[in-house]
Amino acid sequence: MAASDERESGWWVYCIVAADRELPGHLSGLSSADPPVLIEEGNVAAIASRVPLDEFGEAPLRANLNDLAWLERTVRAHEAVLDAMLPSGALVPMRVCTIYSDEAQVREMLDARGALFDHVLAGLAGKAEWGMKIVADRARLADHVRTRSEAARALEAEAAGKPAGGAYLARKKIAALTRDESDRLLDEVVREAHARVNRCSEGAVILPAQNRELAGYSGDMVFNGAYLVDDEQSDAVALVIDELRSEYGPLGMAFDLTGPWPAYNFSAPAPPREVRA
Amino acid sequence: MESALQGYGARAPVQSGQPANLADILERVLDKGIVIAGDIQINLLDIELLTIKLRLLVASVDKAREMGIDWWENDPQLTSRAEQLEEENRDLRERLDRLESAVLETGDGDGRE
Repeated sequence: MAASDERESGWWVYCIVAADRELPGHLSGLSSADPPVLIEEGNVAAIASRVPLDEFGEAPLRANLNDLAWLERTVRAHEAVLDAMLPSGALVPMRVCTIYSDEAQVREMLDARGALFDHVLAGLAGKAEWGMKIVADRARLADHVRTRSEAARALEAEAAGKPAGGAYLARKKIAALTRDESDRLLDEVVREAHARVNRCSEGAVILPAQNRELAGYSGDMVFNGAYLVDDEQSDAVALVIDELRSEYGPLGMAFDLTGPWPAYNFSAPAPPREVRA
Repeated sequence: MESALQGYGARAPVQSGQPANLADILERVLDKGIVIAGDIQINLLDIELLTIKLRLLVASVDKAREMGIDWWENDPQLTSRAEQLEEENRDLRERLDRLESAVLETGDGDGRE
């Protein structure tokens, strides 16, 4: 903490943990030259590291946040610190770019919000966030529906013996039928999948579909959900996903499970829903 | 046929050292987690983050909306709006079908009955 550095650096806060936690030795954070440290105040501590303001100050951030390579490097470094802390206890994740000008400001924040952090940490103990995404291959789903629908087969037969106009109408009907049936089936599967995972969880949040290029999938992301799951239930969630894959995979539905994540979606600002007595 | 998630860098359920999908991280770290204003200019950052979110995430939601799938915009119980849209779509398709058959009947005289 050389005094000469005070003006040129700020403190990036990664997350809040209980004050008695220890840092693993291999944390590098945003810059290996300034690894994260614990700043303790009362019952809680911030995990924070010094960041240079010529990169993380207001003006440079404006430019850097729009540079996807910089953004990726930064968010992965942020996430890596949280990932390293998650297995050994609860943490409250901070949104990226929570930066303070000096250590005293971090302490002030901890002091002012200590009770809230305590409360949130207690609610998250022994739990983690899991994500389920469902991607549908609509062509495959439509094939499945067409080959299994009695009505569609009847219409095909009808179309075969018809002159041009009638056959055209029959084909239109088959297409409409397939579309309706596919939508209905998709809706059913999504609700069923969500309900099954939700039964193993203590909270659920539905998220927007992800950008196709960024997430690297093909097809339609028809569902993206996050769940707060007790560690003892995480095997049950994995089992549910396996079941969903074998039941609905052949229809053209792919199920993606990710986790454990820090409880990003269940940390703020309201305390997580408590379902246990 | 290949899985729709082929090559999709999924984060393994058990920490396997495989890096998480960038989209998975961004949707969490950009606007989730506790938001507390650091004393270094948070308002402007909010605006910047919003710009990025729009570019990275919202485009796909618009696509989904076009398809009539907007469940996530409602509560997790996934109710009324999607059904309402579905109903509207069905009405429109039926009306279109009726119009088409009327055109065909008057057009080439090859009616169905």
